[in-house]
Amino acid sequence: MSTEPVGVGRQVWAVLELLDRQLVDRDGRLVGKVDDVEFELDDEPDALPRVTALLAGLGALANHIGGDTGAALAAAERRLAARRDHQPSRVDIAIVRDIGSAIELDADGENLDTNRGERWVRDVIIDKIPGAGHVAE
Amino acid sequence: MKKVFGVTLGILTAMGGFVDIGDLVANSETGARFGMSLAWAVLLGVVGIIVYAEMAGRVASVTKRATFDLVRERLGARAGLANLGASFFITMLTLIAEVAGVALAVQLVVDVNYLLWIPLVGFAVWMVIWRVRFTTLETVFGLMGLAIIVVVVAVVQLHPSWSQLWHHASHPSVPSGEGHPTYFYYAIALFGAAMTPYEVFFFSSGAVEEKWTRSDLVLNRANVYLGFPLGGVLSLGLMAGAAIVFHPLGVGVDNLSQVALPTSIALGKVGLAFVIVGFFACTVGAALETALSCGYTVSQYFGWQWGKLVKPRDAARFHLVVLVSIFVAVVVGVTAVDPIKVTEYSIVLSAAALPLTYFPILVVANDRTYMGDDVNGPVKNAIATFYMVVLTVVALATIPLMIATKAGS
Repeated sequence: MSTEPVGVGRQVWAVLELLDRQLVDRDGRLVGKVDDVEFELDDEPDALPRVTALLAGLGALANHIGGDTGAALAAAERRLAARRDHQPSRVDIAIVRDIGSAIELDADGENLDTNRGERWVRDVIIDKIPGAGHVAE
Repeated sequence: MKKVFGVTLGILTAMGGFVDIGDLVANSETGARFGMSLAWAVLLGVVGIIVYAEMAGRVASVTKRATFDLVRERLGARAGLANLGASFFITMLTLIAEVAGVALAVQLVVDVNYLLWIPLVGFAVWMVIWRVRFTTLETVFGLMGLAIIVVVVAVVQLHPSWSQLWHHASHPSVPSGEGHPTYFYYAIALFGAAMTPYEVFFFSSGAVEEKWTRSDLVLNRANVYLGFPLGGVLSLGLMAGAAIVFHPLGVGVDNLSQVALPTSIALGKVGLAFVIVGFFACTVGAALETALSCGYTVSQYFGWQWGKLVKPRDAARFHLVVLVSIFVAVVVGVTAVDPIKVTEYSIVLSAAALPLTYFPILVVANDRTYMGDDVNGPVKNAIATFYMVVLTVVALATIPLMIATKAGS
């Protein structure tokens, strides 16, 4: 009988259990894959590195893949995202609720940084087609 | 009701693999050229797809994770992307062929050049995906496609010498006038058609769309054990019909109206009507299966929301991929590429990509952290491992054989 909150004291293997896993928001919506993991190294002499965020989206994926394919993906991402900072989308580690066969987030996917591409395609293209807002019959 | 019509997912999936436009012609062509001496390749493929589709469906039921999700997770971003490139290309080629194939089926009834039908077919396929519920789509086209069973009835009506057909099938030999490389090229084409990767993409995603859970594992098995053997029987029926009618005359088969000929000889106009309805339903079914699979694979690799359970606007990128895929299929289709040649190439190329798709399924189907007690048993693992070896050998042999035989000509 464990009374500990989920996740406390559990070891997680980054490549096996985090990388390439599905991100799911609080309503079960699919909101991307874990394309990379961000650590923060403190300047204090004895401080341990801390996981600060999961990186998701084309930008992080492009760096992860590397080589010519990665460069092509990165170029595509820069053009599509039209962002100046060239930083990949981050999911703050604080909103991660559970790490299982998918990574569950305690957030509304709609507002996540990783959801920008989906929002753009929806607002600019799909919503213009009649019937986009109806569940299929 | 759910249980009665519940097996149409397996039926529709199998039709897209076994009797889509390319296979309708390829099965008949093999029968005409090789008699029944390649029946073993179909059987080998049927058992293989049964084993792997059952695993893919079981994993999807227990974990809600479709096949390309597993491919990404188990192969990683880079190898997963390579597989995505190959799988998407193959599925896209098949979609091009199916859209033209539906148009060819319509041309059998209405004497207007099929090229004019292609844009209309493309639009209709997109409309179905945009507006029609997954279950409805699956039931309508799965059941309508059953009309193609008439080709098996026709074989019986032709009163063939069963012992001779059986002898031919059970003692395979290369007919005189055909080389060994060509024989094995066609064997790979039949095997590749049976195990074509979009079947597991579609079947596992369909299981998620149908909201299967752990308690639907019986339903999963029913779908697999009914659908794929049916596909195999249809495939063999087309082959036998051609073997009986064309093989003795030394006539080759290269178009859809010839595929219908054994049936119309045996059963007259009624038979012909059934076979044309069957052609139409099977090619539409295959077009839907491949168009959806284009969306499923890309979305599952990148982790986007996919599927038809939500409004199109809530799976925007998925619907964009489907829309663009169908558009490309129409544009390429109206350039009058030969749809039958296109599928033949896509089947053989897909054989080269098979191990990359099936390996992750096998790994996850054995993972207790995902599957709990529903992991593979030892017998299933033995068969699945045997097929991994077969798939690898086939993958290595495919491209050299394709070049050596000039694609079976």
